[in-house]
Amino acid sequence: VREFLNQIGFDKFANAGGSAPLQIEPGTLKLRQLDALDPLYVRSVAELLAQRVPGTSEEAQHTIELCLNELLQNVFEHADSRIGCFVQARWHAERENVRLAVVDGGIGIPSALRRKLVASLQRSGDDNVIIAAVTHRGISSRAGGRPGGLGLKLLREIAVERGGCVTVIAGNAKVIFKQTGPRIYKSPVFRGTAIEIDFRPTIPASPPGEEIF
Amino acid sequence: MKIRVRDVCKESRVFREDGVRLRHAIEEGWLRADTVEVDFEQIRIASASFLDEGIAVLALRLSLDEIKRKLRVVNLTEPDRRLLNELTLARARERRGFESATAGSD
Repeated sequence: VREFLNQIGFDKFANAGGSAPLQIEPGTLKLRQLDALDPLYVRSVAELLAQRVPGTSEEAQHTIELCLNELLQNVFEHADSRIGCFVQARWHAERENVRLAVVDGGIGIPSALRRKLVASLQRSGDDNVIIAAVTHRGISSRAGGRPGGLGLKLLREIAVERGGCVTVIAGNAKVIFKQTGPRIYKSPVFRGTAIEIDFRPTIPASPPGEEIF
Repeated sequence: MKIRVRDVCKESRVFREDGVRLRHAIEEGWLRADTVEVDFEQIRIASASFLDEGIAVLALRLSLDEIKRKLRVVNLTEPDRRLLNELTLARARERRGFESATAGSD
């Protein structure tokens, strides 16, 4: 994982992690290693990013918090990562966008889904498994057929709706999901999963559909 | 019957397991009362997993009309309310898809 982090430029941000207070560099929160989802950490990152990006509303802060919560729950529910995960948060005040990245050293999305014997994915390449996981509702590696399979789709919708994209790296594939659809790239083999979501939180969500509550 | 999210879930309102606790409370009330009111007291949730597991998955086995008639969700922040609506509609679509597939295979 270290080697991979270095390849994608994470390593230079690496620090000791743990429970040290958030450290701010221009445009970047220092990389943090987590061994569990810490809601207080997530909320503090969301609040900090919201302060750094001009025009960020309470709703935008909610979106950042939601994205981080979903990225981290994916890791700790599905990844089987002995090292937990690394979290990177960056912001670009001029472009009003934020980038949240989570990298784990687990089994990777393709293996996690194949392990759960999702029949349609057994013979698919890593790229197509990633595309299915991010675009099809109801595909999940959750145990016992319990409901799930919304998180990654929701993240993609949030990012694309707000002028951004989601990048997923796992196995030998790198897939970038934009408004125009997924684009596949070759990637050095990576056993874990790296996901980055890049979006402009200040762009409001689309008008609500049917109101149930 | 009124359920305060804070009473059921204490300070943990992020994980699917937290959502399960809330849903079990709702399901208990469902059997005993004409209406079930869930009060969020303006606490920000910002977790799709919690809202999905706690409330939205009810739409996998109940119709939206039934949910609207019997379940009241109050004092939810506006972004969370929007998220909950989206998740519930997604689960309802999932149910309808399953029903049409089952009908088609008969």
